[in-house]
Amino acid sequence: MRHTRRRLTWRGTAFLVGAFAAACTLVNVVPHGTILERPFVVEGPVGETLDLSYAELTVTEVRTADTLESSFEQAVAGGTFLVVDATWRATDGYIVFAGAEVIDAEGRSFWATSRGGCAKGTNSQPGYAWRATYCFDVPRDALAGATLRLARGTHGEDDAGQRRDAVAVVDLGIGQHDVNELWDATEKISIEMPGFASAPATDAGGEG
Amino acid sequence: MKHARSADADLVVRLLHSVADAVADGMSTTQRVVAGAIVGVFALTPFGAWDEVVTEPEPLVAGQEIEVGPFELTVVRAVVTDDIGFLTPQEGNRLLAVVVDVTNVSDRPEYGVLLAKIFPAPTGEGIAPRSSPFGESAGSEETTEEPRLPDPTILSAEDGTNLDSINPGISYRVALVWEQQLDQAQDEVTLDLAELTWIEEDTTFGMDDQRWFAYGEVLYRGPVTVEKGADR
Repeated sequence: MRHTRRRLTWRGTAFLVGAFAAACTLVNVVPHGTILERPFVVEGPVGETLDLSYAELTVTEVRTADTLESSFEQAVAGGTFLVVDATWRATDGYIVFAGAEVIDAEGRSFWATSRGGCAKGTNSQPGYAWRATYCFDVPRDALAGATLRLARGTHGEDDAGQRRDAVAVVDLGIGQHDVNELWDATEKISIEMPGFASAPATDAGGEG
Repeated sequence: MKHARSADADLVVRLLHSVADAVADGMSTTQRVVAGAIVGVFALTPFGAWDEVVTEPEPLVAGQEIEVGPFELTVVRAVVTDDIGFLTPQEGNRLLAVVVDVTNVSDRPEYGVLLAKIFPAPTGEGIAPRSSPFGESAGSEETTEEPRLPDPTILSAEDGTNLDSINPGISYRVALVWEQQLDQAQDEVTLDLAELTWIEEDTTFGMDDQRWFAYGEVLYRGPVTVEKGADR
């Protein structure tokens, strides 16, 4: 009878170490942020309905205001409030729409605020259109070329909540020549709580 | 002829030399270097080699702009009042508001509560401890240690709304509000401002990258006069 004592061979060890090193290199070399984890961006202008696979989104109106007003509080802007009305229509079950930010031409991010009764996020069931008003306190130099980024995933660190998921990026259509007018607007806007929408994203006529 | 004193010194040097020779004999170069370093550190002991490094906080002056983490801050004043926005104190207490002009000078938005990390509750000023929903003050009855003081509520001084986030390039006049016990009220409050450190990559269990963190080191300290009445 023959005993095979040397189970650990040099060749086997070298193979294992080599395979491990190769795997580590692969993990480190492949660009996660730019390729593997990149969200699926659906772009469009204000007024167009975007299909995000889990929901349809229409940005209906973009305004600016110095003061926001709701039934319970009044909020004064540090810069100016960029007020965006949007309509969601969930298509994939109950969905929490958690991500809302404005990205300016330089790539800076601006979060939505709940001041003045605005929505930082919203949620809805399928079967009806749901309207929400988002407000962003932005400085003057963020207005021109600003885009709105809405999704069910949160922004978080490196857009962690939006990896491999659809994200709507809406060009707010603000040109350099619009900036003065928008910035000087001293309006007070009354913010409505999120609720059923009758208009654009509804084709079968929702609850009203 | 040599001086007696220098002859003594000579003897000491020679003695040390022979001791060093005896010890170092047979040591490798690495061992010698390490042993030398250890001896060196011990030699510095009387000069404070083991003392904790203490950095004195810089003086905090009301009205003077300073930079902490992503913010430019100017402490404007401290105010005591009976209500601000939706806040009202418990009976026997009043509200202490520190009014600060804040600008986010970084290129990313921050949560308003990050200001609470910069402004820990002033100690020894009668800040009401965190109360529990069960009536008694927080913590078990046996603990003799000081109760933990609460973080301030972060409000916009302009309109009393809860300041949830501070976007880049935006300035607010902010009210940092604590509840203060009436019998402890003084004309002056000493504020400590903590330093914020940027965590690019979190190597702890939290793994929460790219954020500001307060290790608790006091960056600025100074008295601020407490005014009465007006809430902004």
